[in-house]
Amino acid sequence: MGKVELLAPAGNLGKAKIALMYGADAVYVGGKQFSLRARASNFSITEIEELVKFAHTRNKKVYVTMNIIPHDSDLNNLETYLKDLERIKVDAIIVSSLYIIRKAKELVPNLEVHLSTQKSTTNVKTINYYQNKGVSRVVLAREVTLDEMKYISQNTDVELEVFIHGGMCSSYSGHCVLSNYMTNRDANRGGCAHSCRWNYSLVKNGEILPENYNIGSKDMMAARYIPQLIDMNVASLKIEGRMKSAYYLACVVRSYRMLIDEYYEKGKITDEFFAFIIDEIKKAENRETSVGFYDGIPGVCGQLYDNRTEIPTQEYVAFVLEYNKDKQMALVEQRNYLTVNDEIEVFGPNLKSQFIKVEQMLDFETNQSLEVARHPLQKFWINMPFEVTYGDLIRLIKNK
Amino acid sequence: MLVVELNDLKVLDTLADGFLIGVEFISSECFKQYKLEQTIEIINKIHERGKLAFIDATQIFHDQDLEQVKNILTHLKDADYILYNDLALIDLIDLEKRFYYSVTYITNKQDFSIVEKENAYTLLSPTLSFEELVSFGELDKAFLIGFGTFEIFHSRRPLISNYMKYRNTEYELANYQVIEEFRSEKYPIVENNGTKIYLNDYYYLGKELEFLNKNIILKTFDLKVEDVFRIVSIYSKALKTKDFIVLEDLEKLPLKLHKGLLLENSILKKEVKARG
Repeated sequence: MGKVELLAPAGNLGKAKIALMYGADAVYVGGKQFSLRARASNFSITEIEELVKFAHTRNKKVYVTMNIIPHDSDLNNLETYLKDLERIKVDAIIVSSLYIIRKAKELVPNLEVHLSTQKSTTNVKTINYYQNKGVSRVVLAREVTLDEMKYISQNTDVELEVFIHGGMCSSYSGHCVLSNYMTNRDANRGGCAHSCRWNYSLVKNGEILPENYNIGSKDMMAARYIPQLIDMNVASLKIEGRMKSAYYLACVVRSYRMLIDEYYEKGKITDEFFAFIIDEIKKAENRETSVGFYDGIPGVCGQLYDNRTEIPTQEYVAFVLEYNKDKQMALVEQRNYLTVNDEIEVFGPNLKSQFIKVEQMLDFETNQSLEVARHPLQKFWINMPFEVTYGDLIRLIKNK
Repeated sequence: MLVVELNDLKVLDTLADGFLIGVEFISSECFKQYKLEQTIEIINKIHERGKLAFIDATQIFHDQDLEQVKNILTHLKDADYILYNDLALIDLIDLEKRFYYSVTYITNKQDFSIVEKENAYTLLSPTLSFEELVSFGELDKAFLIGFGTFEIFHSRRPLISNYMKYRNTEYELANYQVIEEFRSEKYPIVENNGTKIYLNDYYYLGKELEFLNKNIILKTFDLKVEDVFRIVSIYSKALKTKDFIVLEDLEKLPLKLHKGLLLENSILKKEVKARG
């Protein structure tokens, strides 16, 4: 068994490249058809092709989600789409529909088929069923506990993919149509309105209880279980969140990359290292987290009560475009308000965190000195006493 | 064929062709769940009446559950059909007794054509529109939900008792419902081997049934027995006389009825159409 795969989501080409640069071994993306997350800016075939070339030159992979639960009208152009994905050398498709599985095996047998978590697979017999249909990897339901994963991994030769980080449905995925009935948006065809995160009242024997009732789940953060997952030969560790920002992806992917590499290198993870990683993740994570089902069925601490609690994250202020060695300045693109004398952290795929104070900013267009970079996407030069490269990120540590 | 969920033993005297029995540990769709020994007796009673016994085994199972499921199903070998949702059960049920019952998964003819070969019966998703259901045609091996409420959310989490703990209150067995803060519909919520939320009020197929599949299940949930008798009688009459207009008589019952998504197009679908 090779090294475990770190699999990241990407809502667009830029985010996909960031995820791969920051340490993902593979990314999963949605095409214009057959994909959930209708609001993510899904990829055209041309964009997927560009991404595949970008990934393959780095010895990385691209998976395309085709995991809607389709109605008849959704199945138009299926054959053309599958052949396009094979032609542009996509590594695998992630599928829910038995018909799409069958069609893929008939038409594009070289394209790997992975079973989506939309099928909420929770046991070995169900995995065997899908293996017989030609599925080579199963994304387990997020409801499977660590002990159950261990049993499954010992009793199947199908590759297993498990979620380690990100949002969680409160229901078994694919079994919830709250959104369909409450908002007329089809949860299983990319229209989920996240009804499980809304506020409800609970009625008991006809009497409305006074306080808000919630059924939503905290997000998952399973960093502490990575060593055990590696030891049980899970094939892929999956991060959720095709709607998340590039900054979030960079931080989360980079953190899990460091964690996985540390475990392979040293054979153990110290408490200090776990604390460091969790702290790094929290800099990007703005929702409350728990360990999902890893420890067993979640109790009170796994639920999201009195909704809409968002934890402020450390502010992402700029994206590095290039570096001028002679001037010792970096050309960056603004993401958030930044002023001279702010203290910042710079980090990147090949750059450990560095901390500096902003001493000088020069507008890219006018070369005029700036006290404040206040415009979104504004390009400006910033003092940088060490070499940085395209894709490195800057976040605010402390306002002046 | 007319199958009725058994929420009271008196329902055995209705005009249904078969009865759907909820069984502890293995059922999810049926509100009323009988103990194994009771179920065996009920199957006998159903057969004495010359009718069919359908078992609800629609829970989602994890590996450690499957030995017990196997044991229960062995004891229920005289049942005529087993409704299941988790594909792990395929190996445990003879082909001629398999009834694939998923509220969400069978949403197109192509998936149906694969699943029907592996099952005696298959449920078509009640989330399908009238036009979509009509396009399936009348299929001997397909079933529809004709009346009542059904599961629209299925969680492994104990969502009521967790909440009660959070509020520092004792969890008690009771009839619970949820109401979303900007809506008025009440959705039954049941904590039993996980938490399930069911569709509000009573979904029904009315005169539309003329153009749809005639194998239907009537879900009775918490209906009073006298209402179940009336509802079964109306559907039975419609199926026998082929006068489906009589189904609109259901509106005269003192129940809140609706047609779910039957006559709706989803917003997503409209958006796709608008984009061309």
